[in-house]
Amino acid sequence: MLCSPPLVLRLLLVDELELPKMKNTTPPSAVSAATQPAKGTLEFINVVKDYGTGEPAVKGITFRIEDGELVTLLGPSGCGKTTTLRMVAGLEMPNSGQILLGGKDVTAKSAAQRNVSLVFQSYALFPHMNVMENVGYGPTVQGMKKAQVEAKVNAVLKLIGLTGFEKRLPSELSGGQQQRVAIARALVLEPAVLLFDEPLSNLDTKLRRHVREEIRELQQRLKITCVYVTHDREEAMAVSDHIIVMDRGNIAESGTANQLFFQPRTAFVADFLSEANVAKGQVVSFANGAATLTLGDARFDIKTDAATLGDAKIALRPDVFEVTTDTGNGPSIAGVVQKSAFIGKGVELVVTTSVGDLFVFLPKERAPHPVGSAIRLGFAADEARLIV
Amino acid sequence: MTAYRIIALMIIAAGLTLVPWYALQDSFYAFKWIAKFAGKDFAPAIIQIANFNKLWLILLPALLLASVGLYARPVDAVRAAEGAVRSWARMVMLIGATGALYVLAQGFAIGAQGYTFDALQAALPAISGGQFGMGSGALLVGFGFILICADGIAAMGYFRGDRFVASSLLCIVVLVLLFVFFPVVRILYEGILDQDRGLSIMAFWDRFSLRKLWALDIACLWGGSGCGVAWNTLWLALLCAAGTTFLGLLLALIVTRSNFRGKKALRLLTVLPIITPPFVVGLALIMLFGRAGVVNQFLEWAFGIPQTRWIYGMPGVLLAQLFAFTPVAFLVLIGVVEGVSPTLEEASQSLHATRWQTFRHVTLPLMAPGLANAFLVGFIESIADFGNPIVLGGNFGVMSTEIYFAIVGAQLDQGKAAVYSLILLAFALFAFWLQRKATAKKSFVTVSGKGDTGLPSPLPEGVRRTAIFVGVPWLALTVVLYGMSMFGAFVKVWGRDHTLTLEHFVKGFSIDHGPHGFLFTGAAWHSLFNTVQFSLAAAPLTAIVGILSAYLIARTTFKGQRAFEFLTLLSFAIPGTVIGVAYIFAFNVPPIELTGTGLIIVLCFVFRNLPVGVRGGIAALSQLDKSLDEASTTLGANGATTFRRVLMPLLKPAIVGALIYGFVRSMTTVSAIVFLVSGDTEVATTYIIGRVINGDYGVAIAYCAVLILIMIVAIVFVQWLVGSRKLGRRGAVLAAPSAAVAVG
Repeated sequence: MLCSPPLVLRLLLVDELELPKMKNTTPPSAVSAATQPAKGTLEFINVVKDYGTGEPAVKGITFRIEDGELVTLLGPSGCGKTTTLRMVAGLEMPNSGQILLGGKDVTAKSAAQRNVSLVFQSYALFPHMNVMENVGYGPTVQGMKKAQVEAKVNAVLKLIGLTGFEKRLPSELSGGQQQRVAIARALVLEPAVLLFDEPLSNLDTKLRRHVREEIRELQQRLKITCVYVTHDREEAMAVSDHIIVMDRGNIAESGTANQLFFQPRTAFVADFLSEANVAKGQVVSFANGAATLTLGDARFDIKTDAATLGDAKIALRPDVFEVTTDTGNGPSIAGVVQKSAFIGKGVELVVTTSVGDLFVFLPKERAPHPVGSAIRLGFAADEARLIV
Repeated sequence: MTAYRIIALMIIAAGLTLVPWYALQDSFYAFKWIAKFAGKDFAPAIIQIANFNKLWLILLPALLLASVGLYARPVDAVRAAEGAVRSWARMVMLIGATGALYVLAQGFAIGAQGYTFDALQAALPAISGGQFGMGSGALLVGFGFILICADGIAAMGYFRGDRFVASSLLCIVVLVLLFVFFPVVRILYEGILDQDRGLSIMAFWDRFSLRKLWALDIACLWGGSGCGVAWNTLWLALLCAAGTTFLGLLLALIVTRSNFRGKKALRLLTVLPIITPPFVVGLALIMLFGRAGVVNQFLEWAFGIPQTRWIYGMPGVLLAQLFAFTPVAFLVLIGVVEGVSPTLEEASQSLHATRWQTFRHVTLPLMAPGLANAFLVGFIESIADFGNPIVLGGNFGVMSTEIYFAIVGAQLDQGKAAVYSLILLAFALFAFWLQRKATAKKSFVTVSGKGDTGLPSPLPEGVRRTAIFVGVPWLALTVVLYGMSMFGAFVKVWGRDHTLTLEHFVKGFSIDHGPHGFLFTGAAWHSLFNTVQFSLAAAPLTAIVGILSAYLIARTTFKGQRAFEFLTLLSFAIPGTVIGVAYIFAFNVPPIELTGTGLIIVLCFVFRNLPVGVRGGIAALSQLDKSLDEASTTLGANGATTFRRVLMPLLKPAIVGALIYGFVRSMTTVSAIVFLVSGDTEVATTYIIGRVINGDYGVAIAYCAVLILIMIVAIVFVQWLVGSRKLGRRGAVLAAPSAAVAVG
């Protein structure tokens, strides 16, 4: 869908955005904090938002998003991710802390004064305006001439693949088209940061994958900083450069999808991203970046930077297990099948073991195990993670 | 300097130098003041200061210069020291506030004979001469300073720095304080003045504790006389509230839960109380049951039963109120009955409850808050009612008619009228407070919005029978009543000479074609033109102030928002008679002298109908996704732009609703303006009252018919106007949300 030539981007959207980058060829992450950050850099410093209704919605979070990155705020509902996004947009004002955009303090600036655009969950297209008027709304209210507005809108519509729909009302568009109008309306102001509030939640499952690929592709081509809010971990991992996982108003962990999925440091992230089992085990010894652990009757070594001897929490993803009969080949743990279901792409089990119930996913199996049968679960030692 | 600031300064400058400072005897639009521009009564403030010794006004041009100075040197936010912007903004705010307050304060402090309070006389330098009511100049200057004050408040960072929000809020607050709050406070003041106009609590107590008000006799419960007026009012209101709630519920059940044919026609009933002039029902009852009424004549003819006067008094008034206000209860309750989720009833039945048990233990408790609301609305309607008691009351006095007679009767006792008004106001506010409490808890009636697909369960047999056997005859009677009253317009003398005639219409509405074109020679034309003119002027004002208030309440956040909401809805609870009394007390003397003008009637309409506009606006706004505003804001639009380009077009149905409602309600108002009209400004309803009091029913009824016709035409016309430009799925909603039916 997004197949217009890069020339259009260069001409209409990227001219301003591109300038600092053409001069500065170092990747954004290498820009030192001392120099003036590029205009799409976003920083939160100890930002608190308290609605005065019990617990604060956001409890003093600090993060930095580099220019041109797509970063996802991920978490369950009520974790403060949408509040955080709205504070970036200027729709909520923090109680304390600082928000820096392109190195400048915008904490007290109103939404209208920030160079930030938001794509709303409900799209929030003005139902009484056609596509042209909706997309042209921003430039128009900021006093741009009509001819200029039209040229700008046409370019963005071409970019987004909606040429020919200018005169349609939002009610005459499909869900996917409405969303593209919403994105076009946000893009037309050439924002330094583009915000997405659960953009896929109103689309059906089939369209979701398609639209999220489009969003990612657009972001990569425009090299625009994006902040993306979702509660869907798969979506988050698919689109993001970095993910910030939030939990009850705090940042639980942040990192790339790979880091968070394979090397979670907290039980919350282990559970939320990979549905990992968090079982109680023991650290028996620790030296030179390697630790020996016991989990039930299994004993194995892992690589780790830090460990304290004694009780420890060990995370094991559901997909690291396999049913085995062999006790000699790698660690394994015995149990009794409690629940079992075939879900098409594999079999899900809940197995009661000496370290508690374990949730197990066996992708290769084609039939459920009989409930009550005794089995032994083997796992690869290097998939186990020590967590706090 | 931004356009906003330039405009504010220009308004003040124009108010000081171009238009008359004081109120004119004749209309501003007669433009006689231009010819006598420098005359004593016509000069603008600047000439008043220079030539006519109004030295106290000098502060206003001084404040104007000060604000020009401030605006000319704004603080550079980037380079200025910490807090400099804020202190500059605070100065702007203070100058604006001082200017606006000073305009009012000097008006109150200096009257026609100089200082109005002795204390001021002693404390301030002597002045020569006094001043009369303020005029267009004062209005402009006050408005301009309010704009400057709002600018300062916004610049200080309040309201997210949005000048539009700050200035509209400030303007509405000032208006409501001036035209709702101040008049009511003025009654209180009047109540504690004794004969010599000195302050005295005893004077208040003497009027309050009259036997006429509070005498109690058990016989009044069934219509005997001898009870105090206050008890009469309360007892009548209780009966009326209970009756209208019961009948309204039956009708609502018939419409929603039975297979009664003609349900659609029943819904038309909801329009009746809106378009019916307040005494049509009373007149129709007289025609049916009055001494010369059809029923009495028939009884005498058939059975020799002598004609009685029972209709004049408590039973008649109660009957009239039941007919007049049952549609209101029906309107409230139909939403309540429809709000009961069928799923819950199905759940009850699937748990083996019988229909009656389901009705008794599930449906009725779910409706309880709604019933309480309907009851209180009926109560408020009844105590505020003026039209029915004045027509049918006879010796049976209620508070609203007693207030009327205290003002217009031979007694002319302002203090008494004031105290009576306060008592009535206390009743009304108490009921209003209860009603708000009752509706605040209705959460479990609301529909969840998720697919609620069940079918409403059929009514238990007993309930169904009651509904049909009471509700349907009642409906039939209502139809007969209205038909009868219309018929009355076409007969010579009702009850005596039933020859069909158009003479009542000719008397009221004849048009002659003379040498100078058409002449409206009918006796009623003058008042009809007045009514239409005032209503047309009031409707758009009501809509603007109402929708703007709704926007401030529903879409912005500021401290004191709940107080603001209460203030805008307050006039809903104030009975019309009380508002009328309050307006004469408040606006009969400088600084705001309005009695006898058309303006006071228009203002009265606007602020009486304001709550309906506000509620309609809030209801409409709650259907608009808040992210629409936010989208507009993130795209760089300020409050004013968002309001104009996004919300206004989407609120069109609500605005139209407010317009229609404002117009129609104004056409039928009587209680509030009965004291405010003068010979020049007589309106339809007061004209009709005059005819009724003279026993000239034919013309009165004919006039009512014409009014109803005009209002139907207006409603249909405006509906058609919006209907042709409908917006997608949002149909035109006539914004008359349940409890918003205003009080007579």
